[in-house]
Amino acid sequence: MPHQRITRRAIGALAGLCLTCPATTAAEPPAAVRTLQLPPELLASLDARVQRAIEEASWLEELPLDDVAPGFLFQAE
Amino acid sequence: MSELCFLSIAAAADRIRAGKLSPIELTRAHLERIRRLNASLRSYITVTEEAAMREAGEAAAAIAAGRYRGPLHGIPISYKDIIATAGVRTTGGSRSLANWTPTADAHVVSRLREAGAVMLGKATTFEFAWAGTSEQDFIKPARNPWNPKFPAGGSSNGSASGVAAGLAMASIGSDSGGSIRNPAHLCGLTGLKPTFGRVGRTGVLPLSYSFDTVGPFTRSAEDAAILLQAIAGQDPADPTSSNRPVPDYRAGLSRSLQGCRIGVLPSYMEAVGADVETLRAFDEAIRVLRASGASIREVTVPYLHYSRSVTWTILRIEGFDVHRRRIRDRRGELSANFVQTTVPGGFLSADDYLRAQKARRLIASELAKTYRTVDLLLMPTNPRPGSGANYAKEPADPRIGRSGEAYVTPFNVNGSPAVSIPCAFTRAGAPIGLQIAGRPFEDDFVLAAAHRFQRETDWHLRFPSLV
Repeated sequence: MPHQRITRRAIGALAGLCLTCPATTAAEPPAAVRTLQLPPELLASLDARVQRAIEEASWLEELPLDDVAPGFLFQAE
Repeated sequence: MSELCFLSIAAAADRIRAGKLSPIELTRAHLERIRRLNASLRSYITVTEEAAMREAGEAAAAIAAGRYRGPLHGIPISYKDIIATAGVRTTGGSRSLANWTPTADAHVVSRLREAGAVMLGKATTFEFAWAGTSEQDFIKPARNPWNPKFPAGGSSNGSASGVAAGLAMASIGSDSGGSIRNPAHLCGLTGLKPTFGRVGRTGVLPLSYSFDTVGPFTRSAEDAAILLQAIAGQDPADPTSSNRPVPDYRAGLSRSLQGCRIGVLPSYMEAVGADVETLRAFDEAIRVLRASGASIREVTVPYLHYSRSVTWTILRIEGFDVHRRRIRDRRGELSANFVQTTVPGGFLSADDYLRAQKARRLIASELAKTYRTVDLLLMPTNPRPGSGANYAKEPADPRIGRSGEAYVTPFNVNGSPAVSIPCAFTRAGAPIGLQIAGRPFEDDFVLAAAHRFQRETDWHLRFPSLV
C-alpha cells in the first residue's frame, strides 16, 4: 500500500542517515527481520542492499496490473 | 584416456552398446582426470570415486548380461551439490550443511540411477544456489577451464566447469535466474533450462518455490535431449510438477527448421546493449539459422524490461522465506555475502510479492501473444563474455541493468524452455552463448533448433587445452 511504501522509504532514508552516525542504529526493521535477531551493525550494513531491493520492487508499480491475477502456473498460456 | 572424456554421450553410448567401450574404462578415465585437475579447477566439492567405480562395474556387468538400459547406461555424470544424494554428503555449498548426508536421493537422481548413469560426485555451487562465493568462503568458486581469469558464472559453476574440462560427460544443475544458462555461456556448453514443472524438484535444496528449475549441462543439444528424456516427467511429491506426456526428445531433434519462425528483439537488445563481439556472433547465428530454413522476424514484447525486477523481487522474498530460520539459528556458519544477499528480502512486503507475481503473469501473457507470431525467440545469453565486455552503448533504463540477467530472466518469468549453446569465441578466447527459447513445454522444439545449429557449426566441439 502506498502509505507503507512511503513509510518504508522514510525509514530507509533515516537508516541511511544513521549510517553517518556511528552511535545510532538503523531504523526498526520489519517483524520478519527482527525475528532473526541480527546485530545492529549488520543491519546497518545492509542498508544499500535493502534500498535497492525496495526500489527494484517499486518499479513494478508502473505496470497496469489491476486486472491481472497473480500466479506462475502458466500451463494455460 | 582424455579423448574418452570429450566424447559426446551419444557417441559413448553407441560404443558402450556395441561392446567397444566399457563403463569401467570410461569412468576410470574421468576419475583420473578429476584427480589431476580438480585441485586447480575446483569443479567438485565431493568426488565419489569408490561408488563411481562400483556403479560402473555394475553397469558393465548388466550390459554384458544383455540388460542395456539406454544411452545413459554407464555414463559418468555429476550433480550440483544442492541435489540430495543418498549416503553422499550434500553441502549446498554451505558450511552450515558441511556434514549433511541425505538418506534419500532427489527425484532427478533416482531417475538417472534408473537410467544407469554413474555418479562421479557433487559439483561446486554458490551457497544454496544463491549468493556468490569468494576465495575466503567454505566453498571456493569453480574456475573456468578456458582461462582461470574468466569467471565460470553461477550458481551452477562447478557443473559447467567440470563438463567443459572433461571431468564429467554431463551435469545436473538448477536455474532460478540464469544459473544454468549463464555458466553454460561462460564455459562454452549447452545448458538447458527446461519448462518449469517439466522436471521434478523433490530433494533439491530450494531457493525459490516459483522459479527453481532443474536441468542438464552437456556438450551438445543431442546429449541434452538424452538427459532430459531421463529426468522429465511427473514427480508425485512436487506439486509444481506437470503430468503432461513426455515426448521423445531425441527423435524430435530431426525436426526441420523449414518454415520455423524465429523472433528477434532488436529494440530490447538495443536497450540492454551487448559486447560488440557478442553482437557480431549473434548476427552470424541468425545467418546460420536462416540458411537452415528458418525465417527471422523482428518482434517487440511489452514490459519485457521489467523481467529482472520481477525475478529479483520474487527471488528475494522466496529466498528469505526459505532461509530465514537458517540465518536465525546458524548465521555463524553462513558466508557474509549469503546473509547480506538474503536478509533484504525480509524488508519486502506481501504487497511487493503479489505485485511481482501479477507482473510475472502480465509479461508471460505478452510472451504468449508473441508466440502466436513466432515459434522461437533468439537472444544472446549474456551481454558480457568472460573475457570482458566492450559495450556498444550504455543502457538508458536502470530497470534493465547491465548484468548477465537481462537476457535470461524473461524465460524464468514465463517458465518457458531456454537453452544456451556456444556460437562463437572472443578474440581473447572466451566462449559466447546463444540463447534459444520456445513456448512452455516445447522443449523439443528448442532442442531441435539448437541441434540444427550445432549440425551447421563446430563451436560445441571445441575443448579447452588443459594439461
